Amino acid sequence: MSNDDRFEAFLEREAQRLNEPPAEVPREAMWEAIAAVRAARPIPSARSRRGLLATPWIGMAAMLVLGLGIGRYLLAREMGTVPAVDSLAVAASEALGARGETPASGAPSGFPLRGTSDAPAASAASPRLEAVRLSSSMRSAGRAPATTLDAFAQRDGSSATYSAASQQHLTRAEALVAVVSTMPADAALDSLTGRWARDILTNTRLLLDSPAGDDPMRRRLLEDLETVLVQLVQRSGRTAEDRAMIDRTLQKTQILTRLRSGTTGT
Amino acid sequence: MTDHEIIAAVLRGDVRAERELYDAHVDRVYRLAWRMAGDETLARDFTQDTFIRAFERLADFRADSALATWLHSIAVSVILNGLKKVRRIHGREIGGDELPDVMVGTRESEPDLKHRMRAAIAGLPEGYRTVFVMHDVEGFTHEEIGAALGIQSGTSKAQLSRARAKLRVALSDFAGEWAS
Repeated sequence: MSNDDRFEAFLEREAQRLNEPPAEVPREAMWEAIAAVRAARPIPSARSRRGLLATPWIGMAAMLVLGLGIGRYLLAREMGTVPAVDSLAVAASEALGARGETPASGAPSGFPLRGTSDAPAASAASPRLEAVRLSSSMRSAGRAPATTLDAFAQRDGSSATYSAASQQHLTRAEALVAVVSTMPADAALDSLTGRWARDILTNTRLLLDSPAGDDPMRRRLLEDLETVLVQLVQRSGRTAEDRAMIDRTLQKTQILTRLRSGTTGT
Repeated sequence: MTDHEIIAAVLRGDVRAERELYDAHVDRVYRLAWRMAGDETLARDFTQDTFIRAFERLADFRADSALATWLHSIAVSVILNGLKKVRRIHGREIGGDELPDVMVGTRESEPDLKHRMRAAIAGLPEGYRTVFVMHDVEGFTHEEIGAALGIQSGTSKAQLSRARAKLRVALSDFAGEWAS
């Protein structure tokens, strides 16, 4: 047997002992978690996953409308009259509306119109269009959105479901972070709080991977929340050093303040 | 049931078929996640995420590869992306961006073979480490690894060879353990 062969045999033997998984796989626990997540998520159809590429003519039509929108925007800008309504977003929403992705007229929009001049016309339009109009009317009225989640919702009407899910999730996360931050400095996380943190971490990651994570502002908040949660789950505050690290991250990210106030800036 | 029948049943919304698919593959996915992450929580997260994604994308599965191979490719992607994220967070904590390459220490400073081997494997470049763990530890074939990672089986063999060479250098202090 050559030295190489001996080394390979040695390596295989020794490597088997590293990170050795437990004999019993937690099948039931993982299955429950998978089932819970799947039950909470909309089942995507093959068509929606393939998107524009699956139906090229719709994609081309959308691009054409988008181009028209850009043209209109540039023309208006040259003439010094930038339209109050975001042309690009409206064009995109019209294109998406043509694909039949938005609810039919009369379906709940989730975005009430507040005093816009074109409210009657908009009431029959898509939620995305309504959101854009609402946003522009608020801009023109000089009103800032009340919270970040409001801003998310106003910016993208079609993701109202994800905004609602995010809002619920962030409220739960706020409760957890509030509990952790008020714990005595020498207290470790109990198993219940640890599980709570793990669940919220899983949902945070799922939200990051969902369309809810497309928004850069929301993404930043979720990523910072993920950082905090990973430390909570992995460190659990068992030692003073762990606890100090968690406290430092809480302070550095100002996550509790941001979750409470709904601001996303760092 | 064959893979084809299970997939058809899952796509029809048969929950029992979902469970059957899960039961047939979860052990290997979980073991791989454990081996690569070395952490129970991460192994669970990665396994769950793998199956959630697999069920969501099952309609896109083309039978040009085995279901197990397709699942493992999702698992490897989930694990590697997840580990990158964890490393990024740890990097932020310790103020560094990258983990060092293969860690070569002295026997005096790190006398424990197990510890040194773990460090050496962790320090391998990602591709080498993945191939090494899949082949030498979890017993995947080069064909399976190639399909899961989207590389040729020859590339898998080459990466394994380089991984072993790096480990041999990193563990040279322990030559007596295998040369004797």
